[in-house]
Amino acid sequence: MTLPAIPSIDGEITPQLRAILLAMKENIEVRGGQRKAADADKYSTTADVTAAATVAAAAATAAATVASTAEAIAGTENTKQMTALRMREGFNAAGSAPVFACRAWVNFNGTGTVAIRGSGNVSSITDEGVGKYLINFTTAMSDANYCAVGCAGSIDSGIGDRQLSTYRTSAATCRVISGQTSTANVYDAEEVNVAFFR
Amino acid sequence: MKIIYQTETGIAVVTPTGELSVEETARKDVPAGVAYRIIGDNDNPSDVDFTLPDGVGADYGVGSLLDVVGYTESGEPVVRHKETGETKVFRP
Repeated sequence: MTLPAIPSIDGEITPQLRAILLAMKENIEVRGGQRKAADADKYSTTADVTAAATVAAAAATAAATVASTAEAIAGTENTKQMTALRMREGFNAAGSAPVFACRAWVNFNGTGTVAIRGSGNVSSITDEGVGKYLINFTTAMSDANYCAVGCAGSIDSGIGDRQLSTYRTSAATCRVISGQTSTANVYDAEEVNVAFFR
Repeated sequence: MKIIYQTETGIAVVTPTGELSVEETARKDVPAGVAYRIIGDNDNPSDVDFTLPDGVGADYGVGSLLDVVGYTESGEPVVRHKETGETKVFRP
């Protein structure tokens, strides 16, 4: 009998493969898969051996389709699986500290009619007057205890000259207020960037 | 397209990002029960007549007790009650 080929990964077999092979070694008679007549019940049939080898081959093949660290970071491979470890590595998150993803973000021009340059999980911006903007989330946060971080700037001044305050109005919205640093007055800002973490 | 509605101090202008349709955005981001109009980007909000509104902020609009936490495959909003935490598909 010819056993199916059992692939290895980088020259090493996985623990699962090793366990299966040890079990096979203990249970079969290698000479052509023939059963010993005296101890027939101790040995596997040819079909058993073939099935076990097939399972081992499938396990090895599945393991071989896990993305490498480099592939996880590059993010271009689209045919391999991601493990929990590879997910972390894909974020370039060294160490064991947990990763908390940004849940919403927006970049807009707040002068005149609001013009949104880019966003994620934001359905709209409500212009509530000079320097006051209400950010509406497409999908609400789990509660209002999220963290809003942001900055504002003015291209006209060339040096920024804007400050941004945030006020978490609810799980579904967040109000931000832009002010002029030099005068402390509420003022529209050309660059308003806000990100939310929860 | 912009969504506008009247406030105590003037007119609020809502700029959609495009994640939702303009109508979905209006229902969700206009305060509950408040009439709104949908206008072009170049239209002047102060010239708009509100006597024939395009719609009214839904019961899950801004300031209501319901937050939209998702949408069903058929586009129905899934809402969560702010106080009870109950989550359900919104059906008026």
